[in-house]
Amino acid sequence: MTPIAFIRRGLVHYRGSYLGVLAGAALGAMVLLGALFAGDSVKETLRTVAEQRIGWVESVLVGGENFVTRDLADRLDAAPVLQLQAQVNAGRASAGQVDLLGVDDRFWSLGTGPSIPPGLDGDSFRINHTLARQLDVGTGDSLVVRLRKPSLLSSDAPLSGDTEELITLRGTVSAILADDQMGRFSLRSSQLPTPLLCLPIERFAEAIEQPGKANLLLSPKPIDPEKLRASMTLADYGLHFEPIPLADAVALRSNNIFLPPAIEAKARETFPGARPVLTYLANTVAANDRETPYSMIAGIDASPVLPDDFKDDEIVLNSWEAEDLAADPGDEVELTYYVLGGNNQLDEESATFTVRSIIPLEGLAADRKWMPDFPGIAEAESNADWSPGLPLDLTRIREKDETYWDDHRGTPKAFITHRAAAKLWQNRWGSLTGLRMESGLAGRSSELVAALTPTDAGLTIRNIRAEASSSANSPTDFAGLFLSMSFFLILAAVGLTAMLFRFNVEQRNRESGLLAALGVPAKRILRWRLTEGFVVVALGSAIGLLLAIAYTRGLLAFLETIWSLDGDRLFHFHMSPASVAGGLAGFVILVMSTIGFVTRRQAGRSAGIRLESGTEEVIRSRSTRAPWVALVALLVGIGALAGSKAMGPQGGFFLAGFAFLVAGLAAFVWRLRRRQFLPEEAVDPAGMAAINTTRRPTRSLVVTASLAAGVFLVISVAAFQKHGGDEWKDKASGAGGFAFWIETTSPVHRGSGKKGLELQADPPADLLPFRVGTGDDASCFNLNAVARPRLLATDVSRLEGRFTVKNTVDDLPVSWLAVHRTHDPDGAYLPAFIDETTLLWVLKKKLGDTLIYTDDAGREVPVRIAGTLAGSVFQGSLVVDERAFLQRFPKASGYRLFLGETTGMLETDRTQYQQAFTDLGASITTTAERLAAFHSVENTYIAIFHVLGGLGVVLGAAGLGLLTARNLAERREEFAMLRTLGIPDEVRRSIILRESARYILWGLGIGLLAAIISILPNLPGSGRLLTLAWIAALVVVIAANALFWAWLGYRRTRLA
Amino acid sequence: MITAHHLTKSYETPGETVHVLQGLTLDLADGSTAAIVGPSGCGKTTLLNLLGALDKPTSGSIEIDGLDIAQLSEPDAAAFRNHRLGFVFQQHHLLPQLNVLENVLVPRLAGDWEEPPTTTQERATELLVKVGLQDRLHHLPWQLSGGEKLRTAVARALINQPKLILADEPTGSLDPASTDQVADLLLELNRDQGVTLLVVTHNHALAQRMSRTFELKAGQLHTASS
Repeated sequence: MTPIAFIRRGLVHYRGSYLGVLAGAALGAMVLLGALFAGDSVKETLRTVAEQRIGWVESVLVGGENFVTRDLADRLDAAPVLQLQAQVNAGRASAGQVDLLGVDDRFWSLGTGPSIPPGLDGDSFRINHTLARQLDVGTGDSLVVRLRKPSLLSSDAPLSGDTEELITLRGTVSAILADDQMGRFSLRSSQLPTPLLCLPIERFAEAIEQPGKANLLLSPKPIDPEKLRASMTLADYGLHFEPIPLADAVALRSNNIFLPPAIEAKARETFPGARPVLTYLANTVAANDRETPYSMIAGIDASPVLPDDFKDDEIVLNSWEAEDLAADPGDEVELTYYVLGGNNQLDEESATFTVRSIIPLEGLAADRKWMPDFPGIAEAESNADWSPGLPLDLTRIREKDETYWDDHRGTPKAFITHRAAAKLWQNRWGSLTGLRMESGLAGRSSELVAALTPTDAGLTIRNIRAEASSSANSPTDFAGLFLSMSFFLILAAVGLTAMLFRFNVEQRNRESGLLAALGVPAKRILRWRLTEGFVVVALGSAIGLLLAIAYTRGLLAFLETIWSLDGDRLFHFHMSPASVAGGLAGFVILVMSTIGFVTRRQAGRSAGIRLESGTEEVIRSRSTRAPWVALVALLVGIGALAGSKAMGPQGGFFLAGFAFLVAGLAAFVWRLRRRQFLPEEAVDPAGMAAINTTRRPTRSLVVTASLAAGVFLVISVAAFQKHGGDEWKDKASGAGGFAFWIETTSPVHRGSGKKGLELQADPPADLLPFRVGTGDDASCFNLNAVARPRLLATDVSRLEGRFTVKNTVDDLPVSWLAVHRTHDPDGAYLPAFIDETTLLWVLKKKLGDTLIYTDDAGREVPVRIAGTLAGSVFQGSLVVDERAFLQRFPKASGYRLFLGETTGMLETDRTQYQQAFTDLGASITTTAERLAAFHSVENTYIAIFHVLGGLGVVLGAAGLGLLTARNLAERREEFAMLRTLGIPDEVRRSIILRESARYILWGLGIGLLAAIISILPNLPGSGRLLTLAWIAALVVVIAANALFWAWLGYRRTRLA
Repeated sequence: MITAHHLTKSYETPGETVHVLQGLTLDLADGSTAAIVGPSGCGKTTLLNLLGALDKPTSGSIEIDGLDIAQLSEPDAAAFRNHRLGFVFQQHHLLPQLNVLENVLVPRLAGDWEEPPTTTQERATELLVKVGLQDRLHHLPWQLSGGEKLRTAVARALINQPKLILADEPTGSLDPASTDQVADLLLELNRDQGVTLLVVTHNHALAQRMSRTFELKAGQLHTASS
């Protein structure tokens, strides 16, 4: 008989009792490996999605609202794309916020999957599966695309023209794009597919009146900034020279009407002699109690039209205007005009000038080209057709004004200095409507182009592959998350495995004693036992590996209920070799260490004791450590409660709860070891049960501790359960008292209507509009890593008293006003508020940290976290003040997000809001729905934790059952003796069940007390009762479960 | 005190029926002492189990103090053992978690004792003093010698003030000196308290100290020659 043969025989002979060890190891390995595989699968899925999202694209040139020529794409070997958002209808079905891509054949070659044949032309559309499903359409179906015509000049700007122009495109679906055929194309970092519709770029460009243009270039190679700069033309910068025949000059103009400040500076440097022009619309020119409505006024340099010593407070009228006002030199003239106020409202202001001279309406004074092509004005047939995007009272227009328009179009009726004009009308888009210079200088445009950089025109190169790759690293470590959620279950499985193994070793005590008596060293016997254990645990782990594959698939299916759209498959199972090897090795080491620990004392037993008895009686020692442990843990708990403000209430109370759990268990051990019983207690079943629980303190502690820990974990996490309800009405809630969250596809602009917004109908209640800046959704719905959350800009003063501001930076008062008061005298930072959870868990930043954004001019904008909010509807976004935002992002056009109040009739209000936002591709949800959606993610985590933690509790309770059975088996003779003494069955049963009940009561009591302390700050307001009811139910279920297992253990071995 | 008539006990085994007791008859007067001897496997413990209401005979009757214990239900049999009998085992079967005093009090666990617990406790102490364990009241079993354990078991057997003590190889694990001490103790109890004593033993010295000795042979009792 060799040791190997001996071990093999042992394995075979005791296969029945090893079955439990095998099952425990398989379960533990399954859960541990499942957690690792879930992490692998999420990681691999995000990587795959990121690759599908960008195809072969390496880098992109993003123009946004700036258009470049498609020739630039040719020069850069890139695919030109015209990208806007639209609403798409198919019959009654409608989809908002659809990415509309105008593409040519080059686009299709960027897909990584089977190539889709080129030839998208005419009125055919190609759509992705997401849009097809949303609209329930297939190839051959007709679609209607609706979008607002993009404005070259921000629609917020005065004189930007009417923004209501709606474009409709009709077409037929010619193909449904697979994910790897660019069907998932998106620059947004998200695992969720965006609805996508592709159409021929020429058709799209014609429709939006941007022929030959694109606003996104996709390159399969890195775009070299120098090559880009060298390839740029004046047209790519949105600039052109307009001949001014009357002056034998040219004017440098911007497609955006106002020359961007960065370009203006470089243009003036390149053409030092160029003369600035700023032409603007005066609502009224008044003098001598007479007035002229709606006149163009030009701010220009003096020469050659104006006197050389022309002053900033002087005005020159043309003869028509002088006659209309009966004005003479020296008279005072008042100009009234609109400017954009601080709150982005149009304010009417005025300025007074002294008439310097009257000039005849001829020559340069009669030059129509002083006025740029203001949208809504330049092309108008008559004054009455003007639609400049300003609230005009066209009834003021007289016959003579129409005649002037017919004869002279936008010829200025008066001139002031450019400096004076800039003072009055300069805005965030610029201070020039043209830069005039000698016509010969137009030939030197290349010098200007050489001086400019693409960022001057708001063009940015993005290394999209690097971005996609880094965003695929989810901020949520799912492997870690699941490991922590499975922690208790793994612990319970390992504990159970070790306990069963130890039972097996104890069962073979006489065998061990005999071997020892025969001269086999005790350590060698232990080694043989552990070798048997290793074989069983390794086999169990291998079974666990197979089970883990199925278990992970189940977990992923559950996760898809949150992160997938419409039941789409999102996650693909993946297990990395590192996870398999590391997980298996780690688990086997963990179990073997535990087994080694719990059986280590076997080696020290004498053969005599083992031969004497099959079991070992543990003699109560009077350890003095337990009271000290209890005391220290108690002090730590009290300290954590006291310091909960510093470490955050949740962390502080959780630590306190955990410390009290340890203190409770130490007190339990102390009681087990110290308690003295009165003789009469031994003759009472309850007293006898109490004595019996002190018999093997370690076993008692293991069972009580596993129950207590299970109760503590399951219940303390239950308190984090979020409940919906009516809390949105509370201004301090996460909804801020707002009822609706409205997002639109097309931006809404301020107009002259009610509430100052251009809507189809009056909204039922007040709306708080937000501009939506750059950045990605960083809410819990996005699994991708987001470096820059979406910026939401609003008049922050209107948020005062709403939501719950948790902390502010620089010791400022805890209020929204901190946005204005950060210690930043230079205004270098854009202060922002953010949800605390997004800051901590997604961005992994802290208060006072900065995030770097890029402004419209390509400059870096540090956004500083000035305050944090308690869980709100803003999760995943940064809230900034609109005024400060617009200084950095002047091109931000209109509002695309609104928080809506209610009149109290939610459904009626929803209908009215739908009417108000018709044609804007609006999605209207209640804030309660939005918060509930966020809560559903957290609740899903909690549900998973409860399932896993609950399984751990079941396993722990099964341990109690096993212990009961084991105790009974070991004490057969004891119970036989009691029977002999005539102790009735009921009494014996009562003793056994009371022993189990004591474990359960101690476990529940300690766990519950610790849990209640840890959840005190998390008990929500309105959901408190629900939470408490849920906790009470959990306690009952846990107690019943533990009793059931104890009873089962009793049933299995009861002594009749 | 004990009257057993035509007592038979058979066990069915896969191959055959084993007849352990075959028409056994026993009459034992109050306050008498008796020993039953016989080779291993002759049925001594079976007989003791029948007399102690731990088992039922295949046929025949057992009357103890006029009560036919063969007809008792299990609960009644348990109550009978608890109140009327005292058992002493070879292995003592002390509960390891209880100290000496508590072990003596264990029969009260049955719960239907009328006397106050303090009375029982006082009697337990007296019994332990009597058996010479006054210094061991709060010792745990592992702290006792074999003789002390047995004496504890004897005290436990007497706690219910039985009329009959059944002892199964009470000195089987003791040295000769301890055996004598235990025999003295049991006989003293018999003498002082009038307890009927029936001892099953292999130990002839112990058997000879009983007033009567029976030999169990072929399923029947025979008066043994001294």
